[in-house]
Amino acid sequence: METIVNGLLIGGLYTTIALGLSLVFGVMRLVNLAHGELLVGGAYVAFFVVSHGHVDPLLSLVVAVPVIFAIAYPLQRFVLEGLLIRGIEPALVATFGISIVVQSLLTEAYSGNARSFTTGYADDGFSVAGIDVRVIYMIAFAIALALVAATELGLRRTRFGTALRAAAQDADTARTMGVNVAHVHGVTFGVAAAMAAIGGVLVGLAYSFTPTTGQGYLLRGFCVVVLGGVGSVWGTLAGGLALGLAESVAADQLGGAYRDLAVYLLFIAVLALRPGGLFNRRVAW
Amino acid sequence: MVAVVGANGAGKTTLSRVVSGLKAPQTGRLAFAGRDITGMAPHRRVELGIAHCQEGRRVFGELSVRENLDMGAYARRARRDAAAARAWVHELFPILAERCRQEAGLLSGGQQQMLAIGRALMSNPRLLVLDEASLGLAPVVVDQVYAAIDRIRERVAVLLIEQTVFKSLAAAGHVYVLDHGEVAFAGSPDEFESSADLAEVYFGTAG
Repeated sequence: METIVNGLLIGGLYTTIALGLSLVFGVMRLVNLAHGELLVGGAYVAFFVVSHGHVDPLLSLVVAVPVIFAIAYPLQRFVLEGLLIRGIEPALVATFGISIVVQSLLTEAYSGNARSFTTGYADDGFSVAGIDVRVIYMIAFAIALALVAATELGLRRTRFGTALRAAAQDADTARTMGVNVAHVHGVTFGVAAAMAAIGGVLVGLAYSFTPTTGQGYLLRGFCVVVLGGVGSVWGTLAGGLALGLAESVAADQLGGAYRDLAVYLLFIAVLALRPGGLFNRRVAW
Repeated sequence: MVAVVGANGAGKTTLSRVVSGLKAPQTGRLAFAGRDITGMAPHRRVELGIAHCQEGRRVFGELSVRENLDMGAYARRARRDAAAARAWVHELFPILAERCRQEAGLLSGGQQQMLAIGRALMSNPRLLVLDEASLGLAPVVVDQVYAAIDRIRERVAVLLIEQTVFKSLAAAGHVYVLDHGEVAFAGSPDEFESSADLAEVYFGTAG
C-alpha cells in the first residue's frame, strides 16, 4: 500500500515534467530534447538564489520560473521558430545541440558534483492512516495537480488558450485571424520551460541533481507523454501517475535495479498494444 | 465586389494568400487603403481590415462553432464590436447559432463554409477575400452561400475568387481572369460576357 501511494505521489513529479513536453509537442510538433536541461537549469538558478539569498527552495521559484521563462521565450521565438519553418528535424537537432551546450556550461560553472536542497521538511515523513509518505512527495503531487488544473483552465477558458489550440490545429488560419503565432509559440515554450524548472526544484528537494540529470527525466517525460497520449492534459496526469506507480511497484517487488527496466517494458507494451497511448482521446487540445 | 476567376493552377489561391500575407510576393508591391503592406505579417493585416476566408474552409475542427467565431474576433480591431458582428453572422447563417456548442469538425461541408465566412466577418473587415467559397458544395447550398455574399457585399468590399464563372460574375463590379499567373482579362461583367476570348481562357481550349 505504501508502495502504491508513494508511487502515485511521485507520479505527480513526472506529470509536472511531462506537461511541458506534451504542450510543446502538441502545439509546435516539436520534440524538445533540451527539456531536461531546462529542468536542471531551473534547479541551478534556484540553487544560486538559495545559496545567495538564503531563502526556501520553493520560494526561490519566484525567481527561477521567470528567469527560465525569459530564457526560453526568445529561444523559441527567435531561434527555433525559424527552424520549424523548414520542418521539425532542424529544430529537433537544434534542441539536441542546446541540450549538450547547457550540460557543458553547467558542468563548467558548477562541476559535475551532485547538489540538492536541504530543508527542514523535505525529507520528513508523516503517517496517514498507517501509510508513511514523504512530505516532498505530497508537495510535488499538490503542485502537479495545480499545474494540470491551471493548464486545462488556461487552454479551455482563456482567449489566449483558444488561440493556442487554434494555432496548434492550423497555424496559417490562426494567422489570418490576427494571431501572432510566433508569440504564441514563444509563450508555450516559455511556460513549458517554467514547468520544467518547477520540476527541477522538486527533483532537487526529493533527490539531487547534476548537470546531466536532465537526460533521465527527459526519458521519463517521454514515457509519460506516450502513456498519456499526446496533447491531452488529463492524459498526461494519468500517464505520470501510471509511470510513478509502475516504477514504485517494480522497485518494491524486484529491487531498485529493475526500476528502469520495468518502466521501459511498460512503455513498450503500451506502444505495442495501444500505440495512441493509454488514455488517448481522438481530439487533441 | 471584385471577382477573380480562372482555371485550376491559374494562381487564384496564390493571389489570395499574397493579399492576406500568408505568402510573400516574388516581385512588386502591395498596397491596402493607401498603405504599403508588402512584407507585413498576416496577423497585422487583419488589424488593418483584411479578412481571408481560405480555400478548403479551414475551420478549427476540434474547436466548437462558438470558439471558431471567437477566434474570428481575436484581432484587436474586432473586439469592441464583436457582439454586433456575432449577431450579424448569426442572422446571415442562423445554423451557426443553433450549432454553437458543436465541434466544427462535425458540421457538414456547407455549414463549415458558412462558419468559415462567418468567422472571417467577425474580424470587422473592410475587405473580405473569399477563396473558392462554393467549391464542393451542393447546388442548393451554393445558392444559400451566394445569397449571403449578396448581403455581405453591401457592407464589406469582397474579393471573390472562383472557378465557377457564372455564379461569380453577375454581382461583381469588376472581373479579372487569371491564366497561368497572368491577368488575361480585366473589365466589367458585361464586357467579359461579350468577350470572344472567354471560352478560350476559361475552358482552356480554342473555340
